[in-house]
Order: sequence, then structure tokens, then C-alpha cells
Amino acid sequence: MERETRDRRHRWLGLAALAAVVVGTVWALFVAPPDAAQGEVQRLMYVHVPTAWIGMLSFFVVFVMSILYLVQRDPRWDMIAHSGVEIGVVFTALTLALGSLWAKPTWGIWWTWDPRLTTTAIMLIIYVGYLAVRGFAQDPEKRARWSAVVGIVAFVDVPIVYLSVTWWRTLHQPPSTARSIAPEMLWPLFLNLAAFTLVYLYLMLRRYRLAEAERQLEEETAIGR
Amino acid sequence: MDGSLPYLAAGFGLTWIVMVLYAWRLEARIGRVRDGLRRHDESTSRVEAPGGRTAGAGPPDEPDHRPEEAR
Amino acid sequence: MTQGKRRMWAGLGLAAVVGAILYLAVGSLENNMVYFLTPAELQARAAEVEGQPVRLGGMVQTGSVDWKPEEPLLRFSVGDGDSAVKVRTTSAPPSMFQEGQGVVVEGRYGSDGVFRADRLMVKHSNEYKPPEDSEMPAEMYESISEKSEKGSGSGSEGSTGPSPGSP
Repeated sequence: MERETRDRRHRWLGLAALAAVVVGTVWALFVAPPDAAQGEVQRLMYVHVPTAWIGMLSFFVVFVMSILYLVQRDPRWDMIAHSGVEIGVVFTALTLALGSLWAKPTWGIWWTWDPRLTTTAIMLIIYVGYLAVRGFAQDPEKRARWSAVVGIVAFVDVPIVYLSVTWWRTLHQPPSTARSIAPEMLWPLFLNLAAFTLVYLYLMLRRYRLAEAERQLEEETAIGR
Repeated sequence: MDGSLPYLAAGFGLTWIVMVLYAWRLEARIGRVRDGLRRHDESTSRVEAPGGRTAGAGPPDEPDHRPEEAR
Repeated sequence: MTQGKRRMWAGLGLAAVVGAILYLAVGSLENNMVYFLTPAELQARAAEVEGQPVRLGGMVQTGSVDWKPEEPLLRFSVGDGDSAVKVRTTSAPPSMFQEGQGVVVEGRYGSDGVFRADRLMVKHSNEYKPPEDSEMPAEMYESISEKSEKGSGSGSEGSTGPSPGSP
């Protein structure tokens, strides 16, 4: 059966992602050197940066899918967008939590309303709002249309989050570049970025499966009613 | 190891827990919706099979094979 | 859940979200667009900001740090370019606090020209590198008193000046 082959393929991808994250964590914690200025706690970079990347990647995918939906009205684009928001919200919340854990021992505080932190919190709330919009609309087509509009408008904040550290004065440091990180720390960072991207792919495929099943159930019960 | 250990443990632990828990919850949600679909298919096919065009008439009155699952 | 109930909860959730966005957006536009003032800006706007809660950002001036853990009282100067502001706080210095390091302090600027901070935050750079062979990696929670006994080495740690962005 087609569905079962796909489920099995997803399981292999899931196992690959799991293995990659295991290697990434071991490398980050036991192989990479500590930082000269921050000491051991700097290792939080290896999870904070990848979760932030996945959050933004996810919202970018939502943005593209929302535009595609409005152009083509294919419910599959809406299903991918919905899946992307849910996963993006999970990873953005995780980014904020990890950032807070990193801030306390280095900056000396858990939280401050600096532009980077504030715009990130707004980003999280906006996409939680997207999920609320979906609960509000009953008719699947209307729901998809409204969601697509929110998915496009919400993306305005994503580049603002990224550029906030260059546009305004912040406590948060500007983005690191390949030159500002020593090579023996850059490689484990790249590995973790790749590993988290695999996790993202796996979660998206599974979340899409769920959206597919939900849509089928919604259609069938609507016919029966 | 310096005083970083609790922060590292919390950070990496939280990351792992959130990802694994989310993936696990996803499977549970998929399973639940697919169960609902299967039940729905069974109930509609049971209505259609014996009497022909009775689909949409609601759950069947005939004795059920799995009464606990019928809605 | 009935559909009406679901709609109601969704509506409430939506209203709460929109409210939170507005609150954060308006609040941050007013207070956070300029997250901190430089020492020069603070002194230029002294009359206006005196006694008001403000943030001040700059570098910890070399030779200005005086930490009395028994009181506790921490005194140092925050400088940027030619200007510097004296800061007093009772909060203990975070482990990364040191001379030459970028800091942001939250508090009030007094008429005596001293900034009384109730929150001290360390700004670090985006540079990461392993410690040199000769030096140990930085230790967390190393007290500033121990640090000054060892002779305050400030050069090796990637300190960043809070670069004032465009206004």
C-alpha cells in the first residue's frame, strides 16, 4: 500500500535525523573546544543557532506556500503552510528558551526587551495567532484563504528579527560569520545545522501526513452529514 | 567542568525532549485521525452494503461487530 | 467541543494575540527602538532623562573597576569615545564582566553625574574561538576579586563595543 511505503520511508529519514542529531550533540559537548571568553557554556550555540534557523526556515516555507495557495487554490499548499507554522512555533519557542539559558550565565540576565528579543517574541505570538485564525474559520476554503493572508503578512517580521541586530542597538550580538568563528567550532555548528534541517524535514513530512488524514476525515464526515 | 553544567544540561536536554516529544505526539495524532477514518469507512460501508441506497442515514441499527468502536 | 464554543475560544485567543502584539509593538517602539544611550548622549540629554529609568551602554573603562563584595558595591565607568559616565550598583558583576568589556546598565542618572544601576548586563561579541594553549578556558562565576588578584588581563577576551546603530 502506498501510504505504508511512505510511512516506512519517513521512518528511515527519522532514524537518519536522529543519528545526525546524536553525532551533533556529542561533537558539540565533547569534541568541540570551549570558548576563550565564555568557557563551556558557549556550547549552547550548537543548539540555539540551529533552532533559530529552523524557526525562520519554517516561516519562510509558510510564506511561499501561502502565496502559492492564493495563486493556485490547491489545498495541499495550505496543508504544508499549516504544518510549517506549527513546527516553526515549536522551534521558535525553543530558541527563546535556549537563548534565555545562554543569556543568564553570559549576559547576567534571563531576559531583556532588546530589539532582537522583542521582535522574536512578537514573531512567536504572530504565528500562534495564525493557528488561532485556523480555529476560528469553519469552512475549509475560507480557513485556507485567511490563513494564507496571515502567513504572508506575518512574514514581514521575520527579516526584521534577522536584521534587528544590525539596524538597532541591541544587547544581542550581531550574527556570527564564518570568519568570526574558529574552524573547530564552525564544523560542529554546520553539522548541527544540517542535522536539525533533517529533523525539520522529517517533522514536516509527518505533520503533512497528519494534515492529509485530517482533511480526509473532514471531507468524509462533511459528506455524511 | 565549570558552573556551565546546569545550563548545558538544561539546554541540550530541553532541545532533545521537545523534539522527541513533538515527534512522538505527531505519531499519536496521526494514529488517532486514521482510526477515526477507518471507523468512518466501516460505518458507511456497512450502511451501503446490505440495503443499497441507505447511505447518509446515520449509524446502522444492525448488530455491530465492534460495538465499542461504533462512534 | 461544540462549534460555537470552539469559535468563542478561537475568537478569545485571537483577541488576546492581537492585544499582545499591539502591546509589545507600541511598548517596544517607545522604549526599545533606542535600547540604550551612549555616555555622550546621556550627558547631552541629562536634564531630560535625570531620574528617569534609562539604559546606558558602553565599555567598562580600564582601571575604573572597584568591587567591594562585602558591601556589596560595584563602581566603574562606562565609556565610549571621549565621554565616560560613573556607574554605581549593588548587583554582583556577572562572570564575563571585566575591564574593556561592553556592558549595558539599567537604572537612573542622578544630578550628581553618577548612574545608579539596578541591572548590569554584559554584551559579548560574535567571535568564538578556543582558548590559547597557555590560557585556561574562562571559568564561570569567577569572582571579580580573584580576577584582579591574578592581574586583570583583558586583551584576549573578545570584547565588543556596543556599536551605536543608525538612530
